[in-house]
Amino acid sequence: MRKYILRRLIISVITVWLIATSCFFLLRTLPGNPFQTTSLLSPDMVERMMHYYGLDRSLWEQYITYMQNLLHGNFGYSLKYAGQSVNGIIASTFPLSAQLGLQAYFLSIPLGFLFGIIAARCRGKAVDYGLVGFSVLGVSVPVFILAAMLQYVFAIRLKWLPVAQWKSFQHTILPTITLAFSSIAGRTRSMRTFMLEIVNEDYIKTAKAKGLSKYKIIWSHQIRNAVIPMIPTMGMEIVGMLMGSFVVEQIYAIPGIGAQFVTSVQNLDYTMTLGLTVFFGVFVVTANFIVDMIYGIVDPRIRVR
Amino acid sequence: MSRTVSAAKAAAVTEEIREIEITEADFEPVPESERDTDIIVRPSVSYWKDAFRRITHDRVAMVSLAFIAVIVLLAVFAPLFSRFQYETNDLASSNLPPSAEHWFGTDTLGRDLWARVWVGARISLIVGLFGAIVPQALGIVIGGIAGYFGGWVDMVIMRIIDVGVCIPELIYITLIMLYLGSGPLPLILAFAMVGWMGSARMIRGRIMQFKNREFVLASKSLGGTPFHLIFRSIFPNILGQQVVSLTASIPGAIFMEAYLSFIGLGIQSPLTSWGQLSQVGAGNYRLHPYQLFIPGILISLTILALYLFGNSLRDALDPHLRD
Amino acid sequence: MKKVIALFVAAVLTLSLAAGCNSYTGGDKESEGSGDELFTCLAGGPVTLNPILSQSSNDGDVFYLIYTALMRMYQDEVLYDAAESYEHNDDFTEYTFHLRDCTFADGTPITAQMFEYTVYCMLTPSFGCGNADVYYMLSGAEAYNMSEEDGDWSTVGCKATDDKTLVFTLAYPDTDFVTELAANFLIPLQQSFVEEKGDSLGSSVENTQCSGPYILTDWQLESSLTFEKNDKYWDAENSFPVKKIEMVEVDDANTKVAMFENGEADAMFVVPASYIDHLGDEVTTSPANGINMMWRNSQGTNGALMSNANFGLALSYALDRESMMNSINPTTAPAVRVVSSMFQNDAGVNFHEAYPVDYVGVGGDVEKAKEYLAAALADLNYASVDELPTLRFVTYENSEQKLIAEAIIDQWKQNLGISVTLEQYTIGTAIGMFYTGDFDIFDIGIDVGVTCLSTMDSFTSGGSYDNGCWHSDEFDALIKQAKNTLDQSERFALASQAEQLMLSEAGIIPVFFQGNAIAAHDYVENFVVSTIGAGWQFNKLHVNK
Repeated sequence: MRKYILRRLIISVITVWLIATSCFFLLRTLPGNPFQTTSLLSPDMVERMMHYYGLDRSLWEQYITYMQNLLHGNFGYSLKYAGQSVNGIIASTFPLSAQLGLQAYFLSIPLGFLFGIIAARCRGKAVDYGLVGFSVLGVSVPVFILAAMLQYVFAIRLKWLPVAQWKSFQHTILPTITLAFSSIAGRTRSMRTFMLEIVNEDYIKTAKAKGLSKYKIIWSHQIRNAVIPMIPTMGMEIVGMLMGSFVVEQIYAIPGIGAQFVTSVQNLDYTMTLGLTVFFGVFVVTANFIVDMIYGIVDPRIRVR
Repeated sequence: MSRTVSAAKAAAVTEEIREIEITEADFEPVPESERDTDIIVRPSVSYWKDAFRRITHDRVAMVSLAFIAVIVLLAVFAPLFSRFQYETNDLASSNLPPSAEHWFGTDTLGRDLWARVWVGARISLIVGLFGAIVPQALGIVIGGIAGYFGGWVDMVIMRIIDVGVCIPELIYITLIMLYLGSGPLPLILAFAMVGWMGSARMIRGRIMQFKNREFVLASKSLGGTPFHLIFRSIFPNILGQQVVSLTASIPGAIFMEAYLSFIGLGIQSPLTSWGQLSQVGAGNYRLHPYQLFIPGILISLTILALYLFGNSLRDALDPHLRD
Repeated sequence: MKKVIALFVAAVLTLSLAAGCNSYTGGDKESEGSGDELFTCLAGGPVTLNPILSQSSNDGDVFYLIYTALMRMYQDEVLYDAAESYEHNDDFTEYTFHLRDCTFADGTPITAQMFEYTVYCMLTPSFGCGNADVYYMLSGAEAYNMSEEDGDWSTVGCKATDDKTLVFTLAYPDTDFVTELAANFLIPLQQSFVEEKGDSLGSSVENTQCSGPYILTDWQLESSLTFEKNDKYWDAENSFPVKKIEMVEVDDANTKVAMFENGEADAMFVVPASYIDHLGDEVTTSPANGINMMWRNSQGTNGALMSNANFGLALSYALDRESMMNSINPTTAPAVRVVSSMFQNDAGVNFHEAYPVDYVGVGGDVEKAKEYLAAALADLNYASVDELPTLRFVTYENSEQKLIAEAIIDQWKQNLGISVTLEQYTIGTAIGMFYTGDFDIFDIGIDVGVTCLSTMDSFTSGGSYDNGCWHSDEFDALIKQAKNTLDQSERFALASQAEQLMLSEAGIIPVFFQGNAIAAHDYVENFVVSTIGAGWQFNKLHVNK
């Protein structure tokens, strides 16, 4: 077991290195440069700035320098936000997105599971159709429409909640609901499907035949087995939530990290994009590692070698 | 409790056996009539025929299918027969609400929204359908290989997926659109590049779940080739879930296109899509709500229809639910 | 079991809702101040407060409030700031400024050497300044800046002769020098501070040395800014009355308008185009310092077609700019000139009225366009329009740009019958393609410059907007002559001749002049946006709450 963990650890490090390297070279294939993102600059001026930032050295040289800095955990300085370190920008934006994401996630888990279980148990009845309808709504309405609608109804018309920004707990309610909505809907649907699949499995019939109570069947057998296929996606889901949503952050004027992911590529801000990518990569690799471990523990049928 | 039979009992049994008489008559073939021991309750039906029968009898599924068919027909024919062309501007008639002249109203440049919505339907449906199928297909193949073979094959493929997932999708999409343009085909390719990784990972997980189960082992010991094992033994069990995944990822593809429009990379002008129309409408909804609600409702209804149909399809394909 | 879960969930939900609805009432502001506090929504905030590395006018808006300058602009007027008087020699090649007694917010006295140091930082190659060309009117500046290595600073015409006197020597006679200086906002930099901060100069509140009417007390990148009045500012008593300013960046149009409408914001910069009518008379529109225009690529695969003047004129005359901009964005003005309507000539007459040009009107002229097209086809031996290749229209992605491009392309299709495809890319990529010549027609908005002459100057060969698309010796000569003329009316006349030349040869095809739309509630007085140069000109702002 220990050997496995060690091996995975080494592979994880290599993966992160691969992520940084591929992103580094891929970014350079995009035409344009980081300095002409707001207005036209004459090529002489651009040359001047490239030289100042060391971008006119050979690509290989830049790569080596970048890797050396990376080993010390230094992501360098942003090219668009002159003088701001990438580490600093991540440190100030990430906590906001993470808080929003965690709030949304912890709202969606119990609700999603609950609705899915109820829907599966009441299959065919009105409750089931109602919950299914809700889950479809959550999946069929695009986020920006949902955000606009929620904002319009609760903040503009009813004035119960603030319109935007991230200042107090009340400010977090609308963005959290917006973010969690489709997650709850999706989870309801998945949970319901898995529960239904399992109810016809042989071991459930055996359990019924053995005379186990309804609740014990649901809890000990159905739910546990239904949750298992959802585990691999949970890892990525958490990471996705933590990394913020560009749409939600823009509409609610939240200075989170989600917006940075999009704008840094648009601005061709090489250092910022690379920093964000590596940051994200470390999370993904870690999440997958943990998830694979849990998966092996939870489902005895898959034994991690 | 003693597991051994007492000597007396053994002797008694042996005695009984000796008393059984075996004659020649015992070895004559049994006549035909006595062979039909099982009364066939109903004719045997193949898996696919049964599935087809089940789904055609499902009212909800049929209604959904009919709705989708209507949408497709409108998407194909409505722009051809419409009075206005979808890209023709008429600056004097900008932002008009729905009327007899313009059934769905007009947009900021005075373009007829009825025509635009149905041209957009074409793009959304094509991109939605293929943008979901292609990545899933790729994911199935690659995830299947990773899940089935395990070991270092699995490790390598999963690491490639890890790397691919971390690199901002915007980079791939920008690159693809740069070199291939921004028509429907490059968009589908872009989605394929971005989407196969998620489905591969999921398939791999499912295959790993089923790989070690008894019936697979049984197939293996009977001499099944890997191909046979993956596609004939494991597959039908995942199929139901896959169908649901597929119908779930179609809206994902439609929204991905809308999201790309939100950040400015959507389908190329003057073509449009429901995603783009609703994104433009979202910016104006307080003044011209119809510009948002018409495409928005159409998206929702289409996705609802796909979802319900997918659900029924899954039920129809599930061997456990045969009645 | 189910009941337990259900109860738990219900409890969580009720708790959060209770906490939510309890203390919040819509429209409350966080601080009930003395009444002289401003809360406003922004479209784009600063990315850096380092004046050497700054690239964006959003930064310049902040500089106006936190730094003191030699001279500053208020609308069209030039005001004294750190300088209390100046004189120039007879042929306008030497300007001398005399400073008053003033200090940084931390008490450090401001000296003339500090202004010289700033110019030094901007022109010295190794400092990486991308805007150095704003000071190319100083003698020796261009050569100093263009060299590979850092040269000899004494060759540049900027000297502090003592603590209170600053002398500029120009490369050519420039009657507009003071306006340009004010618009470029020359600020003092303390050398010891700059060297101590190094790369992180201007990256946060601690790394910025304020000297202006306000002190920056809080800055969240891409999110919010807070300013407090600086009592040490030399003119603190007579200007900038508002004591505290809070600004919040909101990109989404609906959100911004909602915040303004429900009273959370006192004012709003950049009212979204579609809401202008909706907000009624709280909105003020004014022309801005930018023009949106198209270039044709004379060097690319369709170079022959694109360099043909008749074809360019056909493209321009076929456009009904008025209807187009009216539908898309009413704050803009259709442009059939290169020089902005903001400028006046020496007699105070609006430039457009004083120097009319022979060009298409804002409503377009389809008949004439067809004539030009026919002439172009004849020039290039095409039998008919259908033989023309499909042209590539490249621009950056932005929902307004999309509408404009679609409208232009459709008008060309309907009026001329030519076929054009639209390609939109992220702005960095689009500009990259512009400079590599990977387009047929390129559309972008640019800054117009501080005077009508500086506008024209940037289009000369070697000017900041030259990328090889259009070149005319006659044009270059006219501009050079204008720059060297001292007679004001002659300068303007020459500038207008150059403009006419450029338009007749279809060097560029103007589309619209950018406009500003800002909104403020009734209790806010003198909320204005800058016309020339950047800056949040709150000099006379009052909030009467």
